[in-house]
Amino acid sequence: MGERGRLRLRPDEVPAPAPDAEELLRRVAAGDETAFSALYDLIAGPVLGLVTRVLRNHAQAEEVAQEVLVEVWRKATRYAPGRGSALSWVLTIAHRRAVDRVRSHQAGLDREERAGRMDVRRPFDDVTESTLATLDQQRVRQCLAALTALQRESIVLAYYNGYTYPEVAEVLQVAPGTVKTRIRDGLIRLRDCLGVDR
Amino acid sequence: MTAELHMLTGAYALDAVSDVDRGEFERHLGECAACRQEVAELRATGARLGAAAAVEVPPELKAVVLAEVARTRQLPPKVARELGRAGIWQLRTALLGAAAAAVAAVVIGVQARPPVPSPVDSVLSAPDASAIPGAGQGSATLVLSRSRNQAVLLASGLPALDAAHVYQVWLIGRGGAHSAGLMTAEPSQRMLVTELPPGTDRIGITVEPAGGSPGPTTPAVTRISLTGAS
Repeated sequence: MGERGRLRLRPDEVPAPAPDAEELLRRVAAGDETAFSALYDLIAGPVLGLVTRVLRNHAQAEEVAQEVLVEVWRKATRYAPGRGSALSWVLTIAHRRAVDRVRSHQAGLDREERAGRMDVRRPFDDVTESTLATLDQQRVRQCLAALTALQRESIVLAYYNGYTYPEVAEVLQVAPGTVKTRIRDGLIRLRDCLGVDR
Repeated sequence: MTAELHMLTGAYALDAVSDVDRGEFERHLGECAACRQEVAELRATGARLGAAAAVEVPPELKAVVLAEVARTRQLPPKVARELGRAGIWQLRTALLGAAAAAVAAVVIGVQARPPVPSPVDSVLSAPDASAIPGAGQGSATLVLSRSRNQAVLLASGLPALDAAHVYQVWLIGRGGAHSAGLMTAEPSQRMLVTELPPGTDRIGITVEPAGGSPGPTTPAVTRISLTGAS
């Protein structure tokens, strides 16, 4: 509303920059479906990419991504801008949903089997060899590369594969407590390397 | 907090914990502001990994999602997050106790009439009083009353400062940041009563040189967002 008013006052100036995800999410919280459509364009790629990475199954991933995107609409009123970026909030929902799906579908022996078959180098290579190497992706790749091997593998297996830290420990053949601290140390280094605010 | 539990911030932020661990850790988070801050930062870090995995989206997905959205009811906002009326009454008791113990309150825009607790009491006893937790260092809570246009900010656990520095509170809105005063009380518990000018959507606490600054000169150590808390 205020934005539009200001635009009318300055018709000769260049158009205002497109609203960012935070502003769109604020409008979505007020029930604005047009804003949701614009927000969708910003978040659908990361959401689908992340859940595909975790689930490794395109049909399932699309289903979960769809649920996540509708959840963003449903829960938009619960987003607190002071607590982080809109994309971070959205991807937190997406990751949790993907992980819940993995864990509900694959219990017990099946998961151990999956862990046993895992080639631990692959997820990182997926990132490093991505053909969609945007600046942001390059930065993530560089920062991941700056970690110790154990930190990197622990984080990649936990985040991109949706493993619990004891499962990561099993795959890497180290003590669970070691994985727990390596994940934390590695994330702190990544946070500083990426300049993550919150 | 136990060191052992604190180590779980990373695994928790990446959803790499069992449901049992998660429950236990979330109870701990409820009482550990530093852990909440770290989890928020590490989650945001994880989200950067997520964003790096972005792919092209099949165009038909959008139509499906928009159709679903058109028939999905949105959740109502949470007005008083984490603290209900009972919580406000507990907070009130704690605040009045603190005031009685002569913790200095900076009162702005309201004449401080004896007894000292009255502006605090006025906010806390307002029918529309609601509490919003802050994010950042220490543990901050804002209790606000829109009908009385006033708020009480209570911060505890902020790191002690040397004599050359103070904590300064800012009311932030479209018009920029306006000082709400300095928090000069006991390091363990600081309290400030302030009017809330219309359009205020955030409150921030920064470290400033003794005497305060005309505008914030350092990043906020603690922030409270008022958006959504109508």
